[in-house]
Amino acid sequence: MFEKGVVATTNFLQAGANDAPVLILKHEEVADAPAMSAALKSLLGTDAPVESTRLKLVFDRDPALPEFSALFSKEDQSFLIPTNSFAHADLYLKDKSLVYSIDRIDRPNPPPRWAAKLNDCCVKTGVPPDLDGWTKLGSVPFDRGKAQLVSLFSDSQTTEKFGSLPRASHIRGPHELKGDALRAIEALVKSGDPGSPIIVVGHTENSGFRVERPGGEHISFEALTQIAIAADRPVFFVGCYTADHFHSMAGKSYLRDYIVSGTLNTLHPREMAPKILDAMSSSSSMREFTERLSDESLNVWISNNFLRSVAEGTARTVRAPIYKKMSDGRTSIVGFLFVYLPCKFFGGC
Amino acid sequence: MSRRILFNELATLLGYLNPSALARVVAEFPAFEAEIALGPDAGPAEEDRKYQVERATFALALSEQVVTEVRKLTEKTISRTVSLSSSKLAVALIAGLGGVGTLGAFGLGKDEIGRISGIVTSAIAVLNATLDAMSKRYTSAEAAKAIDLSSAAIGLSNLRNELTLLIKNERSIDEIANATDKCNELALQLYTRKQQLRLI
Repeated sequence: MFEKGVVATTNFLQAGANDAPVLILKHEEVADAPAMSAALKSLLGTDAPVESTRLKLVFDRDPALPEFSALFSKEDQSFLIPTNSFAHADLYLKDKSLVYSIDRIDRPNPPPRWAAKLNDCCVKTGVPPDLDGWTKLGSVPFDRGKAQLVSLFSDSQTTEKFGSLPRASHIRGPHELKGDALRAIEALVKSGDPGSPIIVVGHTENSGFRVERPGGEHISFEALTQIAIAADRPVFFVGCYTADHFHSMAGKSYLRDYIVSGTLNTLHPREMAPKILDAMSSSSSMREFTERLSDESLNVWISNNFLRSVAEGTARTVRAPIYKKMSDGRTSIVGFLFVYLPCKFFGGC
Repeated sequence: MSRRILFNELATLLGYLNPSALARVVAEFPAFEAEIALGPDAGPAEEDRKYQVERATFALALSEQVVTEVRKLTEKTISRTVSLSSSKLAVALIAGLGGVGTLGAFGLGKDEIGRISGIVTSAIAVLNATLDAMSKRYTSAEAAKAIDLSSAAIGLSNLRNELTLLIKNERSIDEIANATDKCNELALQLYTRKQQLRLI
């Protein structure tokens, strides 16, 4: 009978065995890396990764307690025990009714990030996951009939993909902006329904969107958020990062999630446009909209402090980097999703 | 802030006018294949000069092919709308489009070409001035289309020459990027009018 410590097992059956080995470890053993390495190797009988094998861990304490930090680094979002042989894991926490399914993300620089799944595919979050926040996001309606798009991608083929959206109530490309870009967006936002969302998409650098038209402008997220606040409307920013943005992250611990040098195989406008269009036309909640932006190759990773109160408690925000699997097998942040939700959608904050 | 050299609208226009021609140009610059298919990404900050010049060179190759395709289209428009033997408009258009030498290809004699060459020093001015006089005899929409296309071909050709000189003289990346932007912008203008101009 398991009473305290950590239990580790897998779904892998070694040759000739009737059952998978089960390890029952004391907390102090978990902190001993060489001992853990040998123990985990005994689960598989090999160091080599075994396809589809899941590491199953049972932890007997509240993850807020220090013992959890011997098993998992919340800062790096990575296991501290040697998990090289595994790409998937199930985490059982004491007194929690749910099992957290977590996947390894091989980011550009080690250690790998481990992310908890919020749905079958492909929205993820940190460990331990905030499932209450995810449920709350599902209760916020998405008014798809009145949602408005502002696309700042300068690419006529992308604009054409948004062609089904009427020009009068959407900005389908920067060439449709007349005069000052920020004022034109403001006029559009004011003209819309206060309960419906605005989705702004474009290339991002230096905390704002690049308006890609002759004499190009820069519109800060702050200015756009102020426009949304004044109109009391929810706003989604979907941004594709420029390398300049990666450079501004220098020195931050999560820089290891970005590919910094060389030509980036990043997020392309024609890749995002159909997803945005599909999400706009078929989502009925803010959560669903978020889910529809992701797929097998583009994962949305929602930070654990989502639905954080901002603007003196008048709104909540969701921040979520978008990860993309690169041709070399690594997974890098290529963009982000930011959601600003006035408190009226929650009946107060 | 990085300065990205863009060629997406040139590629889009060429792909619309002649997909095989686009495929041929892209085959010579395979590094840009993904970008042609998916649209421009946000761009890395550390693009070195060599890579930027390569992008500009690709834009040059696209521009050259676009000019060729637009000229073909203009010739087709002219042949549909006017009688070559009698039309001063056609002569002016052809001269503006391909230079005075092109006239020979349409069966005009040397003397006639010499006489005409004196009046086509500024092709676009001649074309515009001639439009009113000719509009009663030829459908003005077709004539206007031919002039628009001819102007675009001349304009892009000039911009292309400017870009070639900037690259050859190793001018700054900002100057090269600005010149490429103009080519790309002209292609966008033409592409967005594709229905109106019945480009294909």
